[in-house]
Amino acid sequence: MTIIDRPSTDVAVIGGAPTGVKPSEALGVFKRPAASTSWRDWVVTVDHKKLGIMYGVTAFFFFIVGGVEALLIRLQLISPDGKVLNADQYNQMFTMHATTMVFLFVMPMAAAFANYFVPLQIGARDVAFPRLNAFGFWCFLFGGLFLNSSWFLGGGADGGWFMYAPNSSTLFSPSHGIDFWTLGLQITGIASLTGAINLIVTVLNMRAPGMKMMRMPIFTWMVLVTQFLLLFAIPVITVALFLLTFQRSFDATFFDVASGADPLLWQHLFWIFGHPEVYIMILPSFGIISEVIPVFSKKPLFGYPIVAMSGAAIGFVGWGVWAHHMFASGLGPVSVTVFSMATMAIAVPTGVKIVNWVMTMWGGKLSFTVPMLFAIALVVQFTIGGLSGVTHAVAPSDTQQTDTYYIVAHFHYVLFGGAVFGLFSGFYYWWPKMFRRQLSEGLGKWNFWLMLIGMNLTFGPMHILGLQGQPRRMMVWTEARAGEGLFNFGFWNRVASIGSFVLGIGVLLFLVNVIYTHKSKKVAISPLDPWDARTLEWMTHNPPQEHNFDTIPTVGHLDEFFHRKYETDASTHSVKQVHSAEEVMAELNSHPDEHIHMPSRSYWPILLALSLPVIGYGLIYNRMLMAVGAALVLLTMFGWSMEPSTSPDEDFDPPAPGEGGGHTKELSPLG
Amino acid sequence: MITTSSKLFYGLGAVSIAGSIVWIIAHDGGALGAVALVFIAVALLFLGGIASYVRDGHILSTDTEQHDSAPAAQRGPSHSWFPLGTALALGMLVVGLVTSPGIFKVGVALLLAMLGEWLIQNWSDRASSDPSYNERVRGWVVHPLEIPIGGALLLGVIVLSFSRIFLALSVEAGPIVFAILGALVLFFGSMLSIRRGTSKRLVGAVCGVALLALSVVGVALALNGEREGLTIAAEEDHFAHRACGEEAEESDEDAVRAVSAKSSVAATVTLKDGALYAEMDGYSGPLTSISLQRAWNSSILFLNEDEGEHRMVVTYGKVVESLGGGVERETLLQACTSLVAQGGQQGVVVNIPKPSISSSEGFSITVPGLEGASIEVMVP
Amino acid sequence: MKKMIDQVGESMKTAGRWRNASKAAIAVSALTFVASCGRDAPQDTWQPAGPNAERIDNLQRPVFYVAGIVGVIVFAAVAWSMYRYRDRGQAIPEQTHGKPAVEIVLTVIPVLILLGVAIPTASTIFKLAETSDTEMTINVTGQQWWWEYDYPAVGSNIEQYGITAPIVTAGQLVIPENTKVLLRVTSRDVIHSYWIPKLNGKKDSVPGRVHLLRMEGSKPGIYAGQCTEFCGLSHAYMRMEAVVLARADYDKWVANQLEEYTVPEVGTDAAAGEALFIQQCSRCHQVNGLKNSDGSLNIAAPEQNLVSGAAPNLTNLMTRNTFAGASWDLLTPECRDNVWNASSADFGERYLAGVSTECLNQRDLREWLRNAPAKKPMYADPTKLTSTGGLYRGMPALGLTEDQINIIVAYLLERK
Repeated sequence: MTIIDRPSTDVAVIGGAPTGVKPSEALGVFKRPAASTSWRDWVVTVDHKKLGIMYGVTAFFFFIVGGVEALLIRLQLISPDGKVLNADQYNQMFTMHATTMVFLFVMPMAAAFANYFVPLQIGARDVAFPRLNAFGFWCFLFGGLFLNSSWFLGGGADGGWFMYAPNSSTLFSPSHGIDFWTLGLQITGIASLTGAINLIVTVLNMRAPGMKMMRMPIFTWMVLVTQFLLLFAIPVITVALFLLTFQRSFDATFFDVASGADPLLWQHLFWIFGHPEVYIMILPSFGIISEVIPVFSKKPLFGYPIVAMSGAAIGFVGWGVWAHHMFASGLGPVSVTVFSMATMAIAVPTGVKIVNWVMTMWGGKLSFTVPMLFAIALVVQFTIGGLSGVTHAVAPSDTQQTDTYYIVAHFHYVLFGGAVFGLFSGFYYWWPKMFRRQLSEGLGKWNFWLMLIGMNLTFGPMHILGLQGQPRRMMVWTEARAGEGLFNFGFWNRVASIGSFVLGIGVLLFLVNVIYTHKSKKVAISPLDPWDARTLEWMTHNPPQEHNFDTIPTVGHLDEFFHRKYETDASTHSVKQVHSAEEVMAELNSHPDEHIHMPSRSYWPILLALSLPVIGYGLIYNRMLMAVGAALVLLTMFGWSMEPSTSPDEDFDPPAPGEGGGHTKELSPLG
Repeated sequence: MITTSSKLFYGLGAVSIAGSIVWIIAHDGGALGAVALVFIAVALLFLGGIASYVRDGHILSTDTEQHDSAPAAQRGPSHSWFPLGTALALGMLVVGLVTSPGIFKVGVALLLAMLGEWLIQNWSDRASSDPSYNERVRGWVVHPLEIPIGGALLLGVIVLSFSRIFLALSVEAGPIVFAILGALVLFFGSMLSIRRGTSKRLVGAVCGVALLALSVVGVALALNGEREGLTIAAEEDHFAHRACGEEAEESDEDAVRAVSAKSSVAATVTLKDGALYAEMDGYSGPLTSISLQRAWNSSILFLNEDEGEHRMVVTYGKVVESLGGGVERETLLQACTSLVAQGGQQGVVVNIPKPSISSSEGFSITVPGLEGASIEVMVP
Repeated sequence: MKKMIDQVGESMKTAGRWRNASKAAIAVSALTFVASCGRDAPQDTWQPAGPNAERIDNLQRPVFYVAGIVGVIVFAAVAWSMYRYRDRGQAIPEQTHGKPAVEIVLTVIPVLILLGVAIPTASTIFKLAETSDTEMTINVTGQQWWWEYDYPAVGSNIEQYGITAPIVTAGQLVIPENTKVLLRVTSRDVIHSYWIPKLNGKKDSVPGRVHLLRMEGSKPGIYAGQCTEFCGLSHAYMRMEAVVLARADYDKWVANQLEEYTVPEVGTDAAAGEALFIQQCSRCHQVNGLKNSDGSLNIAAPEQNLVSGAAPNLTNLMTRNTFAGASWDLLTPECRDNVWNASSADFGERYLAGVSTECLNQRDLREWLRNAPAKKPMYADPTKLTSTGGLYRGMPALGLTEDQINIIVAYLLERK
């Protein structure tokens, strides 16, 4: 990193050599903010760990918002001809529930873990583009808030998260809900895209010495695949959203049949994005449990290269299956056959992963901690979701099942039973790493079992509802179509609604657990390595200092940390512990790196992100405001590029006494 | 004292005076040019005088005190394009005032840009005594604006020239030229990537020449006008179907274009051997009577397999307007393709608002000029 | 690999250890059992009543069984390893990174299973797309939020089934038994999806496109369906039924549909109702053969009042037994049961009887006429019509008085 500074005539010369580079005197407002411990530091931070936590907190907030929306939906459907919501509200509710869960919870929560742990797992000090990282987070936050502000400004989007044309045109949806939706997703899309570029560059370029690609922890692998998927999927939805924005705001006719357009164009664009999106949501959770299961089985991941490569294979084949969302939309039999086959093909690498997790547990030494329970639940529930997925890869069968509750059951098993359980596994597993305290195992087990029971009570019956012929997205169901006998629509809808509240209480218990863990005096500080973990992120303090590692380790193995703690007898293959985690860390840190240089804080990411919603509101309400927003974007980009690359010298420690030679250690370690 | 530079000024001044005399003689007493030349001469002689007075700013080698403080010993301001640019902008501004508002606006924009640049350069020149630092400081401030705007302008020039070239080329030549240009760019690019050591100067020169050539050709062809077909089309209001008759009142340049949406249309209508027949998914065999839903955007595909150019016309009733005073005007409700050459195809989207019983003549699909070619359209 | 087999063998001896696995197996089979419980759901996807749905059913049943078996195996493996390898203080296991042989075998097995599924899938897809054996063609048009059927007077429809003039109806599709009917499915506004689960899978109706869907019923009866592509505000109220009639009954139905319009007797409520109908309802609703007071043919103009440009044709309203997108019954519950639960032999006669004065479901029909958007959300608030240029997306509240409703009902009762 170069330090641009004014040449100054008064550089102190001692013994004929300058004592070091004098940091820049910033130009007026373009000064970089200095470190502080107050809330201000969270606003201007570029630290990947702080941003990871902010991603997590924000995503969890949206999880609760989306969850409340889901509970309202289930409340409406608990009995026939529900009266809780009217048709308009119901349509907004399921649209926003899906949008919130997909774009504002699962994706950013995965980004939270990726942000926090990828640099730690590969032994890097930060991500490649720290300011871009901060910008991504603020885009996500402001995009999400912008999207949800529609609730207070005439109602949310009401076209379903798939927003099929022409139902999304102003003729059929005259409120501003869909405008908020397109623009909000556009802004959060920027977050995903910048994040993807950032993490790809980080993983490819900033690994610790000795860490080859095939020595990367599997979570990092899955994040890498996910980021590549994002990199190629987000532009597609961006284009589609632009077309829709132009159709709604500027009278374009991309989906207008009277002008000769074909509304199926939207469906193709949406699903070319939408199907990789499914893998974007699930792969990070696969990564998390591929860390958790080996740790609590005391065995390396079975078939590590196959798991990594099957992740990559899913990433590739995932691009060739989008039209299985469109089996009923009138494609010809040839296309349907091709996409049906491709969809079955993608079941193979997915199945391989399940086999490998089971084989990892097989022959291990299992301890059923809360993270492990969540991970095992993922394996089981994802298997159910995967198998129901195969049943509608069979296209003729899908024409009976698509747009019924069977599909709702399928993807909730995959995304709730899979992705969300994986994320909860991650919470419990990494909580001591992030916050020095281990979440209570007792409350955690309550949390787990309530979520498990609630999840299966909610979504299990939906399989049956769907096969009995209840379509999705209907604000009411009627007795006339419910069938007779005890186990009709009515029964299963009631079970699902009750289940959803059990699930809600389960999630609430997680929050209770967090508060209990951090408020109760009884919870002790977690040891350095509470789980006997295997990967690099546990080889530093809890929580890590700003510069992550005092010494960047040199990596010789997959599961480097484990190999430093344990030794395998060459002849008997028996494994015995030779070092404690504290010893490993002490040895690593006995020669701390010098000249650790961390990126400085910056105002500009938040300011630039803040000016994007201004353009959005302008497009909806007043075009002049758009110009103001554009001017703000230009100005803040200007500021961003003008900013000196480091903050003024308050940030720098004075030369340490005794180190001599004019060394400046340019960072004050926190605590 | 006659110094080196004062010689130039005195000489030029003398030539100007001589020129004014020649002018008067040549123009038979016309004074205007002569007056201008005399003014120039006076200005030049004045400059010559100043040069003599300061002895070209030279310092005597004996005058050692002057060696550090004389203006010539100081670093002058750096090179600047901006005065030139400003002058150009002013010129455009004036020319624009007289000729077209477009040039005027460009002039204003250029003027603001140049003055801004000039200002910033002046400021940065005084930032410190280190010229390279000053240059960097200028870069900080203006590069974030200069580079994107410059890039956009460059792109604009390329796109504009490119599009002018292809609008002027004939339909046949277009793809060939495009292929050649594309191949050249690809070739040059791959050469560059293979021969890493190529000097930046060479690359820059090639790019510059290419850009210049592109813009010169672009400007030339833009002045020359678009190809004939497009000119005619523009005169005929760009394919606006003013009538669905036999004769081509409008340009039908587009008629040979293939239609991509061939599947799932309401009906495919084929003209063959002077007769029309329709094919519809779900019905067997060629039909001469088809049924379309009312108030539905039905896309109908027309295939011309007959000799000559033909158009398909869908007639679906008429609108009667009262013009007042008992006078009524009848307008046929029609939709039609443009003329389609043999083997060509084209689609129309028709929305028929009323059922067939609303019209005494019934609805039909016909081909103007061919008596027997007709399909009955029933709308329930 | 050998070690694993040994382990499995060892476990065989101690059968008690299979408890966890068998629990999972029981859970899954219970789920499958329960799924087949609601046998009488009108839209059940596992109870085909026609050859197309049977074809799908024959394909999906084995797939579900295979999926179930694979699931049970995986759950058993998970449960077994959870039980067998739980931490009982055993030594840290060997740090093996995998066994290529196991991995290859466990990859090849799913590939083979999927191949076994893929081949019948492909052949079924093509069989279901076959259209050359069509015997009857019907246009099906979706719009917010009801289905229109028109039986064009073209080709075999005239020759075989006596449809000499187009028949336009709504809500209930009427088809002859054991006849290969081809639906030409399209839409007037947004995308809908046509789905009668007991007869065939669903097919989207996309504006500007015509999609083909085979329908064939092998037993007279009434089969429920529901629009399954989200289509806006009242998506939940866009239902439909397919009625399968024996051939003789079908001919009677066609003859009745093509009957001349009968003018109500002068002086009756129905005659007063006709005048009011012309004034109020015929702006959108067509009644074939209805004449204005000046003797000219009355032609509805829905295109001037509705976004979709179409409203249900009411010529033979009382021959159908549901209305408003098949969302409400025209029959009282007892009369409805009489028709819906009739045996195949009796069904035709009971259905063709239509709606009599005694059987008319007065409550829902009157509520509908009083204030339609209150019953079915239809975006009919006049203050919100700017985006549609003043056009409605459904029936507005007409502000009829109770007397007016009486005479309209009287008039409608004669429409059969």
